[in-house]
Amino acid sequence: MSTVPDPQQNQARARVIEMVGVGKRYGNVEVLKPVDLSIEDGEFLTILGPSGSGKTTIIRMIGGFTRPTSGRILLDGRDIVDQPIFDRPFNTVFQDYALFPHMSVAKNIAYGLMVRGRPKAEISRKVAEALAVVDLSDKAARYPADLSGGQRQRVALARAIICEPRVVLLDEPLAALDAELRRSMRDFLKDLQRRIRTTFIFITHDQDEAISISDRIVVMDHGRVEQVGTPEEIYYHPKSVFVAKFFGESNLLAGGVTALAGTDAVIESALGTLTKPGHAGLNAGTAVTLAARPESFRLVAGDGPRAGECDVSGTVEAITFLGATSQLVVGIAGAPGETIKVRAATKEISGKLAVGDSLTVAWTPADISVLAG
Amino acid sequence: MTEALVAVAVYGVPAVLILAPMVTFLLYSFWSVQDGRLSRELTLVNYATFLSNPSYRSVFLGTLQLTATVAAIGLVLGYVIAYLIWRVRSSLRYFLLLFSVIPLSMSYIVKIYAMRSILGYNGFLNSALLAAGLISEPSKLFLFNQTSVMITMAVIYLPYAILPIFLSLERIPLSLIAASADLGARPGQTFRRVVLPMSLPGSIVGALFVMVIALGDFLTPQMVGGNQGFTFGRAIWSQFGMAFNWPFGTALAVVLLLASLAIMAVAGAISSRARVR
Repeated sequence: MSTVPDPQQNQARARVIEMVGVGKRYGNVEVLKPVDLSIEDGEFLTILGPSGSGKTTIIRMIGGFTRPTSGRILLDGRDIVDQPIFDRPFNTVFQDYALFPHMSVAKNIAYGLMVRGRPKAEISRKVAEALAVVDLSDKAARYPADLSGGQRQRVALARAIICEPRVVLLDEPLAALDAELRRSMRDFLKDLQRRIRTTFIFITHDQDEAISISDRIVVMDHGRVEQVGTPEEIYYHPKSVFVAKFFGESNLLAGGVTALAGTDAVIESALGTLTKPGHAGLNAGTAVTLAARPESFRLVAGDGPRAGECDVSGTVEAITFLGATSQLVVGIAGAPGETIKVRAATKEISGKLAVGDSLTVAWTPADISVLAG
Repeated sequence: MTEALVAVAVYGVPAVLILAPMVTFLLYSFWSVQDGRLSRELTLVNYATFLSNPSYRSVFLGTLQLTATVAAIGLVLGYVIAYLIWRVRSSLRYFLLLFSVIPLSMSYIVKIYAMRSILGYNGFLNSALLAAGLISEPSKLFLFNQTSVMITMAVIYLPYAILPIFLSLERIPLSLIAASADLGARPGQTFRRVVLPMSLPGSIVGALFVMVIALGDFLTPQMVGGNQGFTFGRAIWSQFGMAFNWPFGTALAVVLLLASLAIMAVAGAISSRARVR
């Protein structure tokens, strides 16, 4: 490893937007509990949550459509809460696209430049560029009603990026598309964001979308930020039961802290005794939930567990073939009714294991998250 | 058996109640009155009279002009009122809308009398202008002429303009207005580039609707028009009520119907073109 520090790596990316204690309530209903959130320059940030979690409220407050009832929203360190929508250097891709039906595709895309009174030559050059970026050069003279859903989506994108906004806000833009188009638009969005190096704030309720597209994810529930982190952090190290359940499949096992040793916590559960470092907040007697992904377990062959691994034995209760991988439901020996889901390569299982067989699975304590409650 | 009864009901009732009177009406216009007696021989003489008589032609064109003016006033005033109501973003807006169309439920005659008392020599308008010092003696300009017909029609038909204009504003998705602001447009720009172009076709259709209603109105000109406020509707009425020349009156009514159909065709073309986009 190089000993010379790489300034690019050490320097944290500049913050574009900083939300400080930003909350929203309508009368007695608090739709967004005060949130602190920094958005870094050039990142693809996804706000993920079920409907009613407050994710749209955040994007609407940044865009200027909704006024927060508390807190400050800083753009480059300056509070913009009182700045009207049309003065904010952000552009939005709306869920229903909100294309102007009485204007051609080219006019729609040109709109932002036109209302700013830019010269005609500049407008037509930039519109041509934007049309090329979204691959719609042959549709310039068409009207939105003539376009397919995916094409409208791309017009909305081109219209939002043409003014070179500091941040592009995307309000569930893929929700109205069918599954196949969603996937290709998802890749297109990510690629576009890399090419134009602009901060994207993307709203979705789809976990797979969030994981595949984002630099960072903000998970929200009931008007509260549950966790902020990279997709890997959120997937493998959820900080709450909600986050663990929300992303993919998880094993959730009840446990209890039996003792503390320094900052280590000794936790007893169906998996046996587990020592987790760095859980100073826990006390002996605290009930906890252990969360682990099915793929965090390893089938132990003849060699036994490796160094640093724990193991538990059990019985195969069910096998589900999923293609390249298969999922086993393993009943834990000595803990009646407790099962864990284990994901393994199909070639490790097929022909070797059947329902009723005994087996041993191993795991690394670092792959298990200890959650409150 | 029941199927036959249903068929009679479905085709027979409209045929008797709508088609038959229309055919009779059309037929009448090709008959004539000779020496005070109805002749049932088919003739184009009524239409020829209309086309060759300059006074009927000028009354017809003058009425078209008058009602077009009424429609234009309805468009402008109706747009301003509908826009102001539409801008109210609380439940008050539907109350205001209801309030502005309440005159529709009032008797037509009462409204004309009300307008007469406002426009008359000692009416509200003259009193107000006198009190304001704008005129030194009551003006006779406001009653018993073409202007009074125009003002009265413009006022009593205004609700017919407000409603369709409000609906065409209401149909604009709010997300388009948000998108316009998001893209940097100031409120005035959003109005000029999004709200106005999107609501104008529906508003023009509403104004043309007003024109069609005003075109057939003979009571308003009769009551506030005096001798000078002669319109095509009055000309038709006089053929039925005074000259007792029903065939000629019917021919004039057919001309009026054709004019109304032409206006509605224009309105239809505007609204279908607007819908395509």
